[in-house]
Amino acid sequence: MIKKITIILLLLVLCSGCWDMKEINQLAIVDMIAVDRDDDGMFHAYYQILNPPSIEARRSGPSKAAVYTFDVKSTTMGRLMEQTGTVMSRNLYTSHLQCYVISERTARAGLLRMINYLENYKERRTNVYTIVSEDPVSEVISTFTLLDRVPGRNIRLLMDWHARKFGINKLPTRMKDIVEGVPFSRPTILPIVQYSGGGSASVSDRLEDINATKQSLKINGGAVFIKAKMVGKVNDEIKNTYYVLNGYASRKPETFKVKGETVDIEITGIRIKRTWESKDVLRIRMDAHMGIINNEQRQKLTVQNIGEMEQAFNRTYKEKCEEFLSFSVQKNWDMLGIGDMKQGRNRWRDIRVKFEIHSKLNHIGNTITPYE
Amino acid sequence: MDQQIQDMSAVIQKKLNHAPDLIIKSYNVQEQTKLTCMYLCTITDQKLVDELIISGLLTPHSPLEDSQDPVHWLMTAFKQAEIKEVSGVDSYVKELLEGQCIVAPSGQKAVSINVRKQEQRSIAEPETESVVRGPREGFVEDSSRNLSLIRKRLKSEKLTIEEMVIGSESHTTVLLVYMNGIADPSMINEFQKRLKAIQTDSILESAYIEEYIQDKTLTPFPQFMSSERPDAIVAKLLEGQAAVITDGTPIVLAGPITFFQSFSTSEDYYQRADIATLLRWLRMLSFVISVFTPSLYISIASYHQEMLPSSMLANLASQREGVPFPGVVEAFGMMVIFEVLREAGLRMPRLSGQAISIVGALVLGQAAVEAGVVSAAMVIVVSLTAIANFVAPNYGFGIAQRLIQFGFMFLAGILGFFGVMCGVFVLLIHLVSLRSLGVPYFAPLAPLRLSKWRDTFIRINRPLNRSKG
Amino acid sequence: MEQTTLSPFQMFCVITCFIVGTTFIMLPNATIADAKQFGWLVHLWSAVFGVLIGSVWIYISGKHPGLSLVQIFSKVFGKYAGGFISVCYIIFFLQIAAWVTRNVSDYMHVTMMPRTPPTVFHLMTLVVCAYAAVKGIRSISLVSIFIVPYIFISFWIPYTIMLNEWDWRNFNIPADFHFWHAVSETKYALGFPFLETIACMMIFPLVRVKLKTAVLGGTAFAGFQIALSVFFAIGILGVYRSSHLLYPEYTIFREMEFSSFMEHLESIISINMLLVVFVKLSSIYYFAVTAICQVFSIRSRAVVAIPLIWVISAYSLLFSNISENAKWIHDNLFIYYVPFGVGFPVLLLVFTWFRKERGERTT
Repeated sequence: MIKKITIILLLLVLCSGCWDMKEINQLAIVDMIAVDRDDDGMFHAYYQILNPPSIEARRSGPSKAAVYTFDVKSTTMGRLMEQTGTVMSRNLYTSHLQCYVISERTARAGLLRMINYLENYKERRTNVYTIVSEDPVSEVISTFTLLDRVPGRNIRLLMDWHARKFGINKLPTRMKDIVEGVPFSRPTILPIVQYSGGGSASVSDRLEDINATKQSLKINGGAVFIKAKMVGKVNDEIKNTYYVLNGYASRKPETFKVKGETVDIEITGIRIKRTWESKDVLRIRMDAHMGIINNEQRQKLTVQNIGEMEQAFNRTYKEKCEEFLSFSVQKNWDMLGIGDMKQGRNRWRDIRVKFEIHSKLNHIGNTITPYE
Repeated sequence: MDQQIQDMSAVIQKKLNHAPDLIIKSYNVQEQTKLTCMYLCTITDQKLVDELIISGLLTPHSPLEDSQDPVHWLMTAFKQAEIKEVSGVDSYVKELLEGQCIVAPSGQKAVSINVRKQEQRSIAEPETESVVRGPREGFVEDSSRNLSLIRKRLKSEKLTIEEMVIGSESHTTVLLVYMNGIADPSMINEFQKRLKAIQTDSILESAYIEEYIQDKTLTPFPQFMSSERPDAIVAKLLEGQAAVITDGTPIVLAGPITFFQSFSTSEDYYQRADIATLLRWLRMLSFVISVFTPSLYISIASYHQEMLPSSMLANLASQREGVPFPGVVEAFGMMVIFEVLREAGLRMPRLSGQAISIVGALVLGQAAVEAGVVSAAMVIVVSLTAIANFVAPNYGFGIAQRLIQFGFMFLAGILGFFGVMCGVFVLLIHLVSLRSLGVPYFAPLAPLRLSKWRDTFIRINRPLNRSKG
Repeated sequence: MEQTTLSPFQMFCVITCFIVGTTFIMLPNATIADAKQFGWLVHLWSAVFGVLIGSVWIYISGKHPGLSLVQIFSKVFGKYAGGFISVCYIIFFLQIAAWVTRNVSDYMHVTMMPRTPPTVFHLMTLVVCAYAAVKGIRSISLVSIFIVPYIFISFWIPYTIMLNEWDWRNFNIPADFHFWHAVSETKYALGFPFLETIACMMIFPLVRVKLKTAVLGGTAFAGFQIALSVFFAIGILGVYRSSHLLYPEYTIFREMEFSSFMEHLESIISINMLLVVFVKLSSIYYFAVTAICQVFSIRSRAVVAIPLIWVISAYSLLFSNISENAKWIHDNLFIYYVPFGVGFPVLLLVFTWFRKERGERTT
């Protein structure tokens, strides 16, 4: 009895099964999406689709286009997917997305609606890197990249490498970091991508050109988001200080001058500690180790000299932090996230911040005494 | 007197359907007594018959006196032979069929002398269970020799043997062997009860018995261990299990077993404990690989592509670019073809078996991929599954793996991971509800018996294992 | 009733699976939305409540040794009144089973297989659990023995990996916290799952030793697990994000990256979690089936279990979408559960005392 019914049930399931089945070779694997909303309110989406045969492991070197970009437009975001059906012969598959590119005007108009749309369906992801493009997104997304021939992957690896340089795993520059940042007063910073060179590098002939940086993508500066809306731009220096002072970065290269001579160092093991001296005074203390990368002083490295270098660094960096703070106040962006602390809630501008830098030079490298 | 003997011969001949190999000869002993010898020449040793009976009868040690009962005289005359008294035509026939020679002075009573032909192959290395280190002896088809192989290893008075004859036509000798005092008496009782309950006409192989005595019929999992290695069976006896030796087959059953015992071999105990533990885990891993690889491949390739690393997805997509079949069909097709190949390899004469494997490997592997009929990934999946399947030390267990693997492929084909997970749950429920001779099949994991772990999931060095090794 | 005994550890695992069951998929979103960053505390005090009410049930069960819930009712209230209450409980069990089934299909639909019709999930799940129910509580509890550690590992590994996304700021958002207000806002967390556990009284008599440790330990352990997972969800995703997502825990699995080559393991991890739900559904299915068998004196569980597949799968279509379900949970669930979890047991207790007193007086 039980067995009979079970068998009948199983057969029933078999007869009608496989609703969600999708064959691998029926998928258009999306690698990168660029979104732009033009002034008429039309959404333009550029889907970069992998061309599997040309990126197969066995084949090497430039052969065919690794990706194709499809451009669709629609009046609502929700119907972009449907529109792809008119240009693509395969099922759009966004689970393997590596990167979103957002045009600056779209970002300035606010991303919350878009994020809502993205988080609604299981195949769309928000934990992927997002970059803002100053140039028209169509140009950025129609660029063949070198070394990593899949542009999305290329950007992603670039960002990963970027993060590694700060000694962290992932930079908070993903779509979801914007949502997570919404309830906080500290802005979220996304990187800005720039396209160098005239005319987009959209033909795979470009892969034969030896000059790699002639027409290529470059990460430069950051776009500041408050409440999922882009409010302005910052340069790399501010962006990096933001990562350091908010405790993301654990290492970073720096440059300062000792007695008029340039010294390049890498600071490692950065620790940031915030203490409240009084209700209105916040002290931010940074402890770090230094390692010399380049020392242009023409004198022997003595204990005294090392002390001078540490002093010089502390001073220089403190100035930098204060610059950062005044920039933050001037722009009215709570870049230090003071407004998210209990004491500073809703009045971060009234808080006076004191910086205290303590550094220790540990690694001096091989050249103790420079050649003169 | 003569008439009586002749009647008897006629009845016997009739009972045996006038078998051409039935030999009936009459001799006169000391002129006055007539003895009739009957035997089936095909199953008796002609030399023995000649030596023992004919010459023995014609030149007796002591003369037959008139007053003496001829049967009694015969019993003393053949003291050295295996001899017993029988009476009645039915028992004569039974003895004849067992290879005895009936010597009848009269119609009522006779003696039967054992002249059975000892036709058997010599003890050889078991072919299905080869070991690197360990004894090379294997069981043979003769139950008494098998018993001697066990006795040789267990010179213990605890070794208990119970003989029973099962099969209304085949009259197969079945021996239940266990260690008295080590084996659980209630388990032995249950075993005896089940063996006695068997109602059948014939037992040709121990699998017949296994089917009758297993706890649950509708399951792919073997509930008894079968082995042709005496050392393996002896080890099981020492663990308190019971073994069934069936006459006519070298495969001896032992039980009760548990699921996890299927992953251990007798060789584990001849090797270092650390490597044995590692190998057990390897076998369990192979079980998982062989059961789940095809279904995982189907569910990932057809339902959950996000699981693949991006670059691998691109690779797989380009491999499958020209393949005409959907993933499920491809997987089922390849697995079925592989099963066909395996069966062909088993049934073919040994020499052409190799040809099969070459054709299979070359044609199906290389050519099919190059022709774009299947994807290279699928060939990898099938080979991986097959190789992992061969790791199963117990052949019956390997068969179970193949069966459930197809079940999981089916489930993966209709519902992806969800289907597989439903299957896993059903499989777990099924496994824990199984029992082998009343012993929970999934012990010592469920029910949890941590103390038993040291000889299932790991093997602890004998000196360190304080309980008996 | 099945002629078997359960070890305390088996009982512990069944209770753990029963409580964790669908709670971890259904509740985090609701409690975080209602109690903000204190959502995890809600589950802690709910667990305390669960332990308290659990000891009451154990006390009652101890007064009637060897009897299951419905048997106690027919003993104390007589055949008809007791039978009526038992039928109420049977319907209650079936409802829970239907909701759990529905939760499974909703979860699968949203997170993994949007095109498969829910009925397929219902039937598949129910067939599987009906099989388990027919095999009996011994098999279910034995399976739960290794599901608990397995899930424990496969649940906490992703969470631990996600710790690098941890942000203490998430606990520091402005929010007022008033204990009693929060309790009344999140009272459903008391009922679901901690009042549902009364169903386990069906198998209390099967546990011969350490029943108290097993049941209360399981309740506390499972409650603690849920609280911890909500705590992690808040720390990792933030209050803002988790209260806007239907299944925050799934999002954590989704955003976990084992390494750069194993990025998206969410389907396998979240499907693994369904094993716990299967145990819960099988147990409640088994309770319903045995209760029916005991009330109507039916021998074979299979005869009852198979038709129930259709009943439950039909009933599970009651809510047309998750929002209706969530609204019902938020507004009515606790009130609805109180008579079953507290009302009838207390009545039982009163009657038991009353009878005993009367019995003492007459002697």
